[in-house]
This record gives sequence, C-alpha cells and structure tokens, in this order.
Amino acid sequence: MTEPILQIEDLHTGFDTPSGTVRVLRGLTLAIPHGQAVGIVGESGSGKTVTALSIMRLIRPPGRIAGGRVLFQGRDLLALSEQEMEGVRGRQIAMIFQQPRESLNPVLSVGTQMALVLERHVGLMGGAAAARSRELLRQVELSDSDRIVRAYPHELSGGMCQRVMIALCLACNPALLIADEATTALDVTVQLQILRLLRRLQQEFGLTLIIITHNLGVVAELCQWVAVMYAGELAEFAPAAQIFRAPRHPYTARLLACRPTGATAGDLPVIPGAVPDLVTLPPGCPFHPRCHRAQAMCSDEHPLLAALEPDHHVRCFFPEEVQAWTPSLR
Amino acid sequence: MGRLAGLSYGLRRNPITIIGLAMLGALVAVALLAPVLAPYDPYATNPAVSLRPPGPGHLFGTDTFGHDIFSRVLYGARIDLIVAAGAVGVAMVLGGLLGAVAGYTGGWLDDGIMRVMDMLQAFPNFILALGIAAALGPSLTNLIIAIGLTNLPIYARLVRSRLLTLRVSGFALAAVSVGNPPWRVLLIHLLPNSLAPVFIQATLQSGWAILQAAGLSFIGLGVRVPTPEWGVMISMGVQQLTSGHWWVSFFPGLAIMLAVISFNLVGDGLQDLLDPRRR
Amino acid sequence: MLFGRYLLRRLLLVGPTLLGVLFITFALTRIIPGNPIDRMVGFFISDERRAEIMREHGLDQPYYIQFIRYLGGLVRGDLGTSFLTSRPVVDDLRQRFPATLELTACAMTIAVLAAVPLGVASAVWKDSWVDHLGRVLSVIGVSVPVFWFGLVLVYLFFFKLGIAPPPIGRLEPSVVAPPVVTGLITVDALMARNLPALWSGLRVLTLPAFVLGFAAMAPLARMARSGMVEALDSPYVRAARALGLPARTVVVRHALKNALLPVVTMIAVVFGYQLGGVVLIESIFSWPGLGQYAFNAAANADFPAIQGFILYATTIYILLFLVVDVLYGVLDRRVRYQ
Repeated sequence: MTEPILQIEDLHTGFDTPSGTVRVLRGLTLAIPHGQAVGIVGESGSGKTVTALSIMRLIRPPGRIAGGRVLFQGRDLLALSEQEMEGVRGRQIAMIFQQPRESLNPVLSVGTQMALVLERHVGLMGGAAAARSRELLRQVELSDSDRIVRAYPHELSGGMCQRVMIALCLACNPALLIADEATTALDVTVQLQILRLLRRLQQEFGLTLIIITHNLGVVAELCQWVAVMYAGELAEFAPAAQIFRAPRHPYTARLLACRPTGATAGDLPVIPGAVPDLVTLPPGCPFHPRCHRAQAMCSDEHPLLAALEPDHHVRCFFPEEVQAWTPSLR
Repeated sequence: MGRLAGLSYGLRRNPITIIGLAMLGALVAVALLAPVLAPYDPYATNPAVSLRPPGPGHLFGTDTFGHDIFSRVLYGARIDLIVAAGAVGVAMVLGGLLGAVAGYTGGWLDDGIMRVMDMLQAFPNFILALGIAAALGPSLTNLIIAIGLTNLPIYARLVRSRLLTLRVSGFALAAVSVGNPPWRVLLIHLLPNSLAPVFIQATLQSGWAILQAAGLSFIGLGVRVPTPEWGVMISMGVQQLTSGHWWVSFFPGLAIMLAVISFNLVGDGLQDLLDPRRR
Repeated sequence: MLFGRYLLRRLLLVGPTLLGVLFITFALTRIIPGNPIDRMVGFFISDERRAEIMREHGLDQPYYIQFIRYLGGLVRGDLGTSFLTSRPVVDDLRQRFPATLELTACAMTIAVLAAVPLGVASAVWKDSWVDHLGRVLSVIGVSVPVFWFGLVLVYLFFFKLGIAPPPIGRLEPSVVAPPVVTGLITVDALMARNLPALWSGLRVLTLPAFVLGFAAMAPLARMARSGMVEALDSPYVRAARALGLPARTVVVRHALKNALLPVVTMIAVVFGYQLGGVVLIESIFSWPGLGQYAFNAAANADFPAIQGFILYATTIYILLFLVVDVLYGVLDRRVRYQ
C-alpha cells in the first residue's frame, strides 16, 4: 500500500435528536492511499456521506464531530481553525455531491460561480477568470464553453451540471476529490461518461479519489480499493480485485453474492433484515442479527478490525474462508 | 417517540410558547371572570371622577365620563375575544367547507370557488374588512361577519391543498374502495386529517382578528361608544391625549398588544411543533 | 421570447382579477342588506321622493344593468360624487394620493432597511442574541395596534419631550410650502431648493413613517430570516463551502440573492397592510392622504368615497403585485419557465 494521503482515525460523528444521539460514525478508521481511487460502499444509513462531510468538516448542527482525528498529509483537520479549514476546502480537498443541479446556485450564472472560486483560490479576476473558466469547462469535456459560462443551472442537464461542478473543483487544483454518489442521479450513459472523466482526471492530475456509492458497478469501473461500511464502522477494506474475488466479511460476501449479473452491474442488493437503529445498537457485532455465520459470541463481543493479509482488513470473528464459500445462495 | 413525548419535548425546548399559553390562559380567565374581578360597572358613568389619573381608587384611571378604565379593560377582553372567536369561527367553518368542497370535487366547482377566493384576496385585507363593515353598518355581529369573510380564503386554500394531497393517499382510497360514500370519506376521514394546520392558522388569525376589530372600531365601523371594546376605548382617548390624559388610550392599547402577542406566541409555537424545520 | 410570454401571461391574469374586484366592490353597496339610498338620505322621506332618487341614480334598474353602468362610469373615470366634499371622488383621490405615496414609500424604506439586515443576521447567527432580539421585535411588530403605537409616540415625543413636530399635516405650520410639482413635499422642496421645507417635511414624516415602518418590518424580517435559513441549508451553499469559499462570500454572494427573492414578494404583501394602516395612522397625524379621506368617509357613511377608496387602493395593490412578479422574473430566471 502506498503512503496514505488521508488517514481517518477513530472518527466519531453523531446527531443530537430528541430521542438521543444518533451515532452515525462509531470509531471509523480508514487510510486513503495516495493517488488511488477508493470506493466507499454500504447501505444507506451506513455513514458514507457523513464520513465525507466529516472529512470536509461540513457537518452542521444538530450533527457534530465528537472525536477522532482526520490526518491530511500529516495535519489533523479536526484541529484546524475554521479559517484554516476554509483554505483546505477546495484547494486541497474538493467534493462533488449527489444532486448536481441543486449544488449550483440557481440565481447565478455558471460563469459567476466559477469566477467566485477562481478569485478566491487562484486570484484570477475579470477577463483572466473568464478565459480560465472556459478552459476548465473544456477540460471536463464541455465543448460549448462560451454558452455554458453564460448559462444558469436550470438551463443545463444534470450531467452537464456535474461536469461544471467537477470543473469548479479542478479550478482549485486539489489533491483529493470526494465524489458523494456523484453519478447516482444521472442517466446510465451519462453516469459512464462522468466516471470515465473522473478516471481520466485522476490519471492526468494524479488526483486521489474517494468514490462514495451504493453501486458496485461504479466501484468496479473506477476504484483500486474498496472500503465496505456497516453501521458507522469499517467492515472490510482491501484492494478492489481482492474484494471482488474473495470477500472475507460475511456482509461483503452477501452483497457480492446477490448481485444479479457480472462484476459491473447493479445497485446494492437487498439483504434480509434492516440496518440497525443507531441509537440503540445491539451489543456485539452490529451485523450479527442479519449474519448467516453468526455464533454465540457475535452477539456479545464487538470484533476488532484485523489484517487477514497485509492489505486486507476485516472486522469479523468468523470471516469467510477463501474459495470455500461459493455463491450458492443465488 | 410518542406524540405526547414529542409535544412535551417541543414545549420544554420552547419556553416562549409556554409563556404564550400562560398569557392566553390569563386572557381567557379575565374574560370569564370580568364581573368578579372588575371593581366597577364598565358602563357606569360618574362625572365626579372624570379623567382621574391611575391611582389606588382607579387602577388605570378614568375617562371623560368617569368610566373606570380598569373595569372596562377587563370587560374588553370579553368583547374582543368574542369578536376574534366569532370571526375566526366564521372564516374557519365557511372557508374550510368551501375548501373541502373545492378540493374534494375538483373540476369546475373547484375552479369557480378558488377564483372567488383569488378575488377576495386581491383586496388588501383590512380594506376589504372596512368595505364590508361599512356596507353592513356598525354592530358587533357585522364586525364578526366582516372580519370573518375577509379571512375566509386562507382556510379555503389550506383545507383544499391538504385535501388534494390526502385524497390520493392510501387511506382515503381504501375508505372509498370498501364502499364508503364520498361525503362520508370527506367528513369522517379527510377533514379531521386537515385540522392541525387549520387550527394553527386559526390561532395566529385570532391575533389578526383582534387587531382588525380594534382598528375598525377605532374608525367607527365596529362596535360603538360606550361599549367597552379596546379599539373604541382608544378612540375615546384620542382627544384626551392632547391635554395630557394619556391613560385613557394607553391601557386598552396595551391590552390589545398583550392579547395579540399571546395568540402569536402560541400560534408560532404550534407551527414550530408541527414543522420543526421552520426554526 | 420566454420573458415576453411570462409577462403577457401575468398581464392577462390581471384582467379577470380586476373585474372580480370591481364586482365585489359593486356588490358591497348594492346587494348587501340595507339600501344605499336609505343610508344616503335617511328613512324619513316620502315614497315618491325616494323613487325619484332611485331613478336618478339608476337604482330601479336590474343589478346587471346597474353593474354595466357602473363599469361604464369607471371607464370614463367616474367614481361618483362624495357626499362629504361634493366633489368627484376621483379628483379627491388623485389630489390626496401623493401624500400617502410619500408616507408609505418612506415607511417601506425604513422597514426594508431595518428588516433585511436584521433577518439576515438572525439567520446567520441563529439562536444568538441578534436572533432573539429579532424575534422579540417581530412579535411586537405584528402584535402592536399601529394607531395606538402612533398615539403613544406622539404623546411621548411631541407632548412630553417636545422633540417631534406637532402631528398636524405634512409641514410645520411656520414653514411655507414649496410649489406643487409632484405633490411629494420633500421632492418638491428639493426641486425648489427650499431647504427649510425639505427639513420640515422630513421631520414631520419621521414619526408616522416610523410607526408604519415598524409594523411592516416584522413580516419582512421574518421572510428574510427564513429565506436566509433555507439558503444556508441548501445544497448549493454546502457545495460553495466545500469549494473553500469563506463564510462571508458564501453569505453575501451565494445565499443573499436567493434569500431576498421571497422578501420582494413580501414587500407587495406588506404594502397591502400599509394601505390598511394609513386609514388608521393618517387621521392621527392629520395627514391629508387617502387614509384620512377613507377615515372621514367611513365616519360619515360617505359611500361613493369609501367605494372609490377601496377600488383605488386595491388597484394600486394589484398593480404592485404585477410589478413584483415582473421583477421576480428578472431576478430569478427559473420562474419564466413555470
């Protein structure tokens, strides 16, 4: 594993509600290798998006980061002042979101929104900013850049809006780009184009990518590493090829086993049972009520993340055996 | 989390609503107990004590005719609450029914009703009330009708939009499919489900109604002198102000403000409870 | 042209609304119990004389004929004759309009200038002391009876402290009025370079404009606050923050415009409140505007005048909404597609 660009250590993030604190992240630990694309997968409610927002420190009340460290190039982001953090966002770590059109300001033209970012991070103004904007738009394969600079978000398609968002991120030349379900709301063909664009940019600019998705096809298309999250924890972390070939956590195995077709298709399948209530978590392994391999101790003790191989981490007392488990459940 | 638990949590988090509830309770109590609490007959004139400043004998002083202003402010709570309740009741019942019919039947009836509501709302609120009150002539009943009619479109709209969403909801379809006649579904299943926002609106609107009633009475289009209505009492003190007898107008106005504040606090609080995102 | 079509559609909507307003105004004096003639001449009159007056005013005709005649009169600019002034109502209204315009415009300016910063600050520093102050002011603002508030301030600042000029008209008695050009005293004074009149005009305006403005401030501030809260909660603000734009830039350049759009609509609504408010306020300050006219008309059962005032005020209100809609279309291009 290459040197990590980002290390998340024992991250706790919760949301205060009338009925108690919902602990969405419960000691998440994860290292993102430099220059690679890491997919974070899991069911909704597993804490993927909150992870991204915690890294960016964009958690808003009633949510709050309760503890842990987020080391970016050795610096703990959680210890920075808000002002210092504003220098990290965009310039070092950028993020694109699930709703591309809603992520752009409806009453400002694309050009104006790009100018604001360029002025802030690159110090470009006026004509220079306009020229750079058009250049950036061409980099994200929007050829009609003159028209798009003048356009408003509602005049563009979802895919075009997401390209504009990516261009905005590129404007700051960040080292790490987080894409939170960035293609989920788009048509399948557009999805593929955006994924290819992200891959091209990763190679061209040496970007590190965090791809948050519930779509295993996206992971297969783009990612070198996969992190599987369950109930606010890391369940399994390994190179993508290894996960797809030989998943070790029963949850991952179930996810992969129920996939309808080959390696590139489909959203996460339905696994019987539901994601546990994060206010009143069961003791022991959070997955045990739904697990086909669960034993008595799984309901009492909480398993730790263990390295089964140097690059393969699993949080399970009874991991799947390599090749012993065939997808017979299909 | 139970409904009650949510309610009590919401209230605890929002002490201002509790203050509003307490003020409203006090207001209602004053209105009910006015004959017991008031030291004087609100209509009793006594030239010997004309325009006395506030003091031990007359807590809020007296007006030109020697009326005890404190007693009249207490009795005023009755009249203004009756007007508010009456006007909001008229608006709620008529508006609610119109909105229910419009929302439930749809089609030309819906279009027709809503066009008329549009027209009523095209008038500045108070000016429409002024027009109706002027046409009907000054009296307590007419005041209630004028304010009620003016505020009716709000309820029609509210109930209609609630019904439009509820009509296609699962339980309405289920009720019809097991053979309930439509009017029954409307009355028993749909209306009660539209009531929460209507009552919140009614609370806020009661404050408005008091302000409008006082305003119309101040102009002379509401109830008339010497009825102990707060707006009338203010108008009775306008001339006295120039000679320094501030108390004649001051206390009734203060009463209006406190009454309206209590309705607004409670209405706002309820609205926050129903839709916590608003905060 | 999208914008042209949007404009046209809005204009076409005004027609039916206006017709409905005319119908209701007409109905108010004809259909509702109590014959206007009775109110006009009293009950103690011979039947023959009564019938004669009815004929004179066309009140013996069927209602629809009466309505058409009424519309015909309106087209010719005839709103009837005031019982009180014995002048055409239209002339009275036209003469009094500038005074009310000057008062409401000042009040609205005060309200907007106070409400927008207050609302925005309340949203940005939610649950801080600014927010609490805003809330208190808002609740008082929507709860205080304007006419009483006016009286209290007059008593305080004129009678007690002697700071404010007397509440009698648009200029202090000792000041010579500038020649009438626009009818707005401050503007006319400026044009005539009559500085004493300008100063006096502003002094006299202050108190009534503040009273009206204070009442108008509450709904505007609430709207600005909720618009800002919503904007700050929006995905585009989150995205802008994620791009490292500083909080100030996000608030001023990204959120503010979105937040203020609903305020623009609210200004029209609030103007409607003010048209009601002037009826109560102008009489207190002896302000010779539409409100005082309506007040006197109401007090003396001067029906043509009341009716004329209602029509006049409502038409202004409807036109203002039209202007606001157009403005909205300019500021937010999305609405043109709806």
